[in-house]
Amino acid sequence: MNGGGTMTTSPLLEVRNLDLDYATARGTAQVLRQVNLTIPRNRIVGVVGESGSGKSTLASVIMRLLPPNLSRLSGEVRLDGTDLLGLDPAGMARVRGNKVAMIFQDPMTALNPVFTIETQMVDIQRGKFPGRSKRELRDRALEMMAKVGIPDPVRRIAAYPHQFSGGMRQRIMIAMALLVEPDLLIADEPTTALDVTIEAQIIRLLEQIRENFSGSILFISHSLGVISTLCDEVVVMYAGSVVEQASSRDLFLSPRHPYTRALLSCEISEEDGGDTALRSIPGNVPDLFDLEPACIFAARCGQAEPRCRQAVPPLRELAPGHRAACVLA
Amino acid sequence: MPASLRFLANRLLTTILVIVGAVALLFCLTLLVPGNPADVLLGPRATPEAVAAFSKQMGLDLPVWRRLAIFFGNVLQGNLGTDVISGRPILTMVMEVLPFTVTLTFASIGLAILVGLPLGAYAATHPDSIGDRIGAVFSVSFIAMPNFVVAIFLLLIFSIWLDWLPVLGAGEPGNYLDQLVRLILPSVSLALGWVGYIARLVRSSLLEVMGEPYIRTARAYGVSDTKIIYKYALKNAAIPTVAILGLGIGRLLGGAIFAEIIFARPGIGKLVYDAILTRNYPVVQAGVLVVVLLFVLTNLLVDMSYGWLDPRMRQSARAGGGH
Ligand SMILES: Nc1ncnc2c1ncn2[C@@H]1O[C@H](COP(=O)(O)OP(=O)(O)OP(=O)(O)O)[C@@H](O)[C@H]1O
Ligand code: SF4
Ligand SMILES: [Mg+2]
Repeated sequence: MNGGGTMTTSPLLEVRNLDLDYATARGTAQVLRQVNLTIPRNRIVGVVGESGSGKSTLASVIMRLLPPNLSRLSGEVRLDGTDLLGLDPAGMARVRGNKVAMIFQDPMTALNPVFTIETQMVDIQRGKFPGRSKRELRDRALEMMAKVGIPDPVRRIAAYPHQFSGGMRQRIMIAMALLVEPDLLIADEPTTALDVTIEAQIIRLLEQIRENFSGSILFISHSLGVISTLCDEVVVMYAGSVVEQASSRDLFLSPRHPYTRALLSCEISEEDGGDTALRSIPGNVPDLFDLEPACIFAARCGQAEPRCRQAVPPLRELAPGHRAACVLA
Repeated sequence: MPASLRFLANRLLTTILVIVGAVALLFCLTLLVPGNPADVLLGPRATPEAVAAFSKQMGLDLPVWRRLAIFFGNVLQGNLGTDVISGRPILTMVMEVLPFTVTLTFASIGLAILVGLPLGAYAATHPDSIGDRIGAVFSVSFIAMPNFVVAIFLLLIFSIWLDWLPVLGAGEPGNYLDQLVRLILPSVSLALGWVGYIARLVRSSLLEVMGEPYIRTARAYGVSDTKIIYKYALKNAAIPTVAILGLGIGRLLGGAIFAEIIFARPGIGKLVYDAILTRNYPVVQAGVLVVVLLFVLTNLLVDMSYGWLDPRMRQSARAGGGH
C-alpha cells in the first residue's frame, strides 16, 4: 500500500488474468479462464451468469478459501494495491473479516448449529477490533441486529441458529458482514435459498443498507432483474470467463456481447428470471475440460464466424468503463 | 411440556425400566444355578437339618413369585443380603470396593480423552502426514489388542523388567501418592485401546466438520485456526464421538474387571471374581447388579451430555419462535 492522492481514484479491487484449474477424476477442469474485472470504490458490482459459470469460485479466490483439489491459480487479485494471492496465510487471515467479508448463499448451513448467535457474532469481530471487550462487541452486535430488522435482539442474541427462520438467518449473516465494516462485501446469491417473499424483503434490506455502507459490494446473482435494482455495474460471466463488464445502464441499454443480449432477451421474455430463463438459449454450456483456444460462447453464438474459433477474443475497452470479449463488439 | 423435559423424562423412564429388568434377570439367574442354593452355600458337609433351616431362613421354600417380590423389596431397601462366609452385609462389601472401580474407570476414560483428543485433532489437521499415518497404525493396533494382553505386557515391562512401578494392589489406604502410582498401569492398560479409538473418532468427525459451511464462515472472518478447531469444530465433532463412546462404556467396565483381576486391585471385578471361585452367589449377584447400575447411569450421563453439546436436542420454546 503506497498511499497518496492516487489511492482514492484507483479501484478498490482489480482482478487480472485470473486462471484457476481444479483436479478432478475426469481430468483438469478449467474453471476460471483469464478473468479480468474491476471494482471501483463505493460501488455495487453485480456478477451474473448461469449456474456453473464460476461466480462462487471467483468469490472464493478473492477470499482465498479454496478447496484442496485446486491445481492451478495464477494472475493477480489486487485489493487496495496489495496482491492477495501473494499474501502468506497469516496475512490473508488479517484481510478476511477485516477488509473483506462475505455473505454466503445458504444461511441454513452458514452458521454453527451448536453455538449461540452471540458467540458467533462476537467472535467474528475480534479480528477487526482486537482491543475491544466482549461487552462492547456484544453491544455492537445488538445494534446491528436491530438495524437489519431482527426483532427483540436482546433476547434473540442468546438463541441458536436453528431457532431462526431462513430469512432471519440471512439477516444475521448480513449483520455479521456489516459488523466488520469491510471495504469489500461479497454477497454470493444471498437470496437464492430463500422463498420469493423473503427474497424481496432481503433485497429491500440490501437497498437500505447501500445508502449508509461506505465500502463496495460484489453482488453475485443469476438474476439480471435483481442485479438491475441493486447494482451500479455488472460483470457477465460465461463458463469461467468474463464476457462483458459495464455500468448497469450501459449493459441494459446497449449490451455488446451476444451472450449478454441473449441473457437479456430471455429475462424479458420470462418474467421469473433465474436459471429457467438461461436455459432457453439454444445449445449447452461448454464442458470445462480441454477447452479450445476459441471464443467460449462460439458453440451457441448465432453470429459466430471462423475467426471466433481461432483465438480467445480478449476483453476490450469499447467505451470508458464498458468492456466486452467479442470480435464483433 | 418443552421438548427438553420430555427427552429427560423419557430417558429417566427407560433407565428405570432397564434397572428393573436387570434386577428381575439377576433373580432368574439364581434359579438357574444347579442344585439348591443352600446346599451350594453351606457346602457338602452340611447336615440336611442345617440345609433345611438355612433354606427357610433364606425363604427358599416360598413360591417363586413371592421370592421375586421379596428380592425386589430388599434391593429397593439396599439390602443385598449377608455374606455367609464373612457374615458381613454384602452392601458394605460392595460399597467398600466400588470407589476403586469407579476411580479406575474414570481415570482410564480421562486419560484416554486427554491423550486421544489432541492426537485426533492433530491427525485431522495434518491429514496423510507422517504423524497421521504413524498415529493410525498405533491407534488401530491398540484398538485391536485385548485389554488383558496389554495389561500383561505392561506388567512384564514396567514392573518386572524395568522395575519402575509397583506390581500389584491399590496401595496403602491414606497414602494417595502410592495409590496414584498403582493406578498408572491398570488405567494405562485400559486407556490405551480407548486412546486409539478416540483419536480415530475425533479425526474422522473433525475432518467431516472442517468441511462444513459454518467452518468456512468462521474462516471468512479471519477467526484463527486454533480457535476454529478447538472451540468451534471440536464441539461439533464431539457429538458423534460421544455417541459412539456411550456405546463402548460396557466394554470399558468389562475391561476394568479384567484389569482388577490381573493387577490384584480391589474392586467390583475382583470381588465378583473371588466370589465366583468360592461359589458365593449372593456376592456375585450383588456385584453384577452394581455393574449394571454403573453402566446404566453412565449411559444416562452420556445422553444428558448431548443436551449440553447439541442445542437442537434441547430445543425449547423459551428463546424460539422466530418464524
Ligand atoms: N472443488 C471443485 N472441484 C472441481 N470442480 C469444481 C469445484 N468447485 C466447483 N467446481 C466446478 O466449477 C464450476 C464453477 O462452479 P461455481 O460454484 O463457481 O459456479 P457458480 O457460478 O457459483 O454456480 P451457481 O450459480 O450454481 O452457484 C462448476 O462447473 C463446478 O462444477
Ligand atoms: S467472438 Fe464470435 S462467437 Fe464469440 S460471442 Fe463474439 S461473435 Fe459470438
Ligand atoms: Mg455459486
